[in-house]
Amino acid sequence: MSSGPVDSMFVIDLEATTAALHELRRTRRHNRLSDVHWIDALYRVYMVGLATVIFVMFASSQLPNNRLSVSEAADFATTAPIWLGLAFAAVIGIGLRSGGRGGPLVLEAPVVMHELSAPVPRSEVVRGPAIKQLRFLAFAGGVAGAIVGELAARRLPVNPVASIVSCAATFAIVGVAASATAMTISGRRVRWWPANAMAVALLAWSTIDILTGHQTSPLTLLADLAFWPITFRALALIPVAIVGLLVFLALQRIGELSIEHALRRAGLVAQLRFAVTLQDVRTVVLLRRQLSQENPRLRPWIRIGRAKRRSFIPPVWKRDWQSYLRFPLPRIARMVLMAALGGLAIGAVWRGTIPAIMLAGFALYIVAYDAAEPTAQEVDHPTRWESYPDAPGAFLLQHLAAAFAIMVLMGFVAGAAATILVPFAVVWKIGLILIIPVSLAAAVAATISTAMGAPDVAGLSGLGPDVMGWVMLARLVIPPAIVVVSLLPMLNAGSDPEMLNTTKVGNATVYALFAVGGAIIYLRTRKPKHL
Amino acid sequence: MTSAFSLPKQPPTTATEPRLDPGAALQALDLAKDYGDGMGLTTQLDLKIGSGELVMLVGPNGAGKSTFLGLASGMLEATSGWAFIQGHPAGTVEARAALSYLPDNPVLYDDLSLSEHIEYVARLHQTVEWEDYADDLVEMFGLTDRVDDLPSRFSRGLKQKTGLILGLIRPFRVMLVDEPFVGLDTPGQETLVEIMSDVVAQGATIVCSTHQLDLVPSATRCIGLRDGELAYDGPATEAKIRELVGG
Repeated sequence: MSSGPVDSMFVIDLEATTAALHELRRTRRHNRLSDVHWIDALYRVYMVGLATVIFVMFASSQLPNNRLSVSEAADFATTAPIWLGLAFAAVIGIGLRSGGRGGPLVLEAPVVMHELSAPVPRSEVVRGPAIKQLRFLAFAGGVAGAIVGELAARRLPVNPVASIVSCAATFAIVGVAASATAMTISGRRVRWWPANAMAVALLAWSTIDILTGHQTSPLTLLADLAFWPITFRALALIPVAIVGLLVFLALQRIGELSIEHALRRAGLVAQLRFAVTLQDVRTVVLLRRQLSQENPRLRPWIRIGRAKRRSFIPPVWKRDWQSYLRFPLPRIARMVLMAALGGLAIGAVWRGTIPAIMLAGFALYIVAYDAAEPTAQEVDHPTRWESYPDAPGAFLLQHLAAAFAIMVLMGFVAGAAATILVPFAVVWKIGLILIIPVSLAAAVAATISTAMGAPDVAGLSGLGPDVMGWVMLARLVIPPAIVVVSLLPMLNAGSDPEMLNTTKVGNATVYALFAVGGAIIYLRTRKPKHL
Repeated sequence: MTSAFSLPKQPPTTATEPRLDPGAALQALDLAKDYGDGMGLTTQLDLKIGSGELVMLVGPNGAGKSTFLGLASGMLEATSGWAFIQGHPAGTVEARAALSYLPDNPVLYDDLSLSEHIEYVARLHQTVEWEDYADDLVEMFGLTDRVDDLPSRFSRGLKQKTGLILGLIRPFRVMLVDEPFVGLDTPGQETLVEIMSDVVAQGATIVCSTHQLDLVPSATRCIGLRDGELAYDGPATEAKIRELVGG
């Protein structure tokens, strides 16, 4: 064997190792580019562009055509930034939460293992991916902002170009701010709890702005930037400067991020991307939970004791509640927030924004996905399910009871949130009719999605690429659509609180229950994957 | 209340910590890692491994072997205590330069061939005249025909061989290896034992987590872990290893 690996001299020349890093990264980039199928890539860009244009046109068509007057627009530009500031606070809050858990950067596992372990300054290794992420979020924010600006220009007496530019700039800055905040937090190794506390404080600050009607939060001030075509407020430049400072701070210490977190995230995100490619929703949920370290509680909130010899509590029901009682606080908070979002969307539907019914259905579906967690455990561990002495799907239906009960509880949360936009009497009357079918539909829909498991790509590919594409799409769309269908009867209620047509709502609910019944029959026929 | 920051504390020096031996190849001082569920290296570990030692790290599943190697490599952050490589705190540039760490699962780029991997790692670590040595290693592990293939598409055993080549191609004084024999065919196992003996003969230190009894004749020492604490530190014998693993 030629010269061995043990060097007698270790001279660490950081310039040389850094130069090697950059040169070899260029090689990798070249390899990647030579592997790109350009026709496929252009086709994908074309499809995404087309879908975006269709979405914008559809959304535009849903907006009323009457423009606000100049004075109405001025009033709007005074109140709207406060609400937009709250939304921005939520985005920055997500960044803070991510930073407290080692995010937002996701390095490839080999980068962590070979490059961060090499005698190269870690900041040199990490800065490139960090800048890439900031650039991407600026672009994504800019695109989202441009769409919002275009839609806003249809209702507001403003120059469309000015509206698009100001909204695009604002949203791009928010995207950069969220990522830079997360990097600053992770680079300085701020733990999760102070990071979460800062997120809560930001949200509270924006909420106080809403309650008092004053603009004090930096994120409210930043939101003013989007409204410059209506009212110019120079104070909006202050948060822009803060974001610039955040970017500097983020890049300054990004090399000090936790290698342990980086390695954990690298492994999980690689699996997550694969699961997303396969449209394996359950695996995506599981991996996302691991990524945010959302583990079941070691000690349950309340411990359910061992059953007596003659217990009348069904074992599946008890097992499901044992699962819920180990839900971590963030998951419970997410369920409550999503239920509240669903309630607000339902309120918006009642006030005339009909497309919000899709948001409501999707939000409640997400809540139900967590409620179906015990069922998902059976799907993940099919031996128990397989050995159950009854029709295969009957076991799943037993789990439905607890998920339904949870959804009824969340239905009350949604109802409470809806009262912000809708008179209490209306919520009470319509809610009383809809809470059972909607809760049932959500529980069934989430259970169906969970029980379907990952698509059998090999089997589906025999159908040909076009049919396979439609089947894959249907697998994703049908479960949340069941929830949307269960909400449709509310459209019969009418918009006059004094003249609510509850009979029509009740009658239409029967049709929605047919859809739910069909879904339950489908569920009863489900078998574990390997049967 | 715990601190709001998880930044590493200032490492001890020979002036502040009399136990610290800058001449030791690897030293653990009050080293512990608690994952919060009773797993990991739960009891503080103090040990010193000198240059030229081939240490077999053994213990049943969940004993804390991988955690120890992860801490010593700087990949994991200790709950308490320190690991030093050649007198430098684990994870620092100096420690990284002196250490080669091979995790139990080989980590490979999707977009680099085997030869590109070798070049990348060799040059990142400023290996001098690595080409001939790389050819030798590739030949010894029987991968000569695969140098232009993407190792990310290799079988488990071939990936393991690639990982070993990458661990060996760079200069090091200390090598930490986690279960290197898993997935290797018999010739591969024999090659690895041969290379490890050769590396140790050149003065490097190897800490190898394995139950492979073929390594016993070459091993100078055995460290046994059980339930996150040190259970044995002494000569490596087949009987002792069986006892530690079976226990």
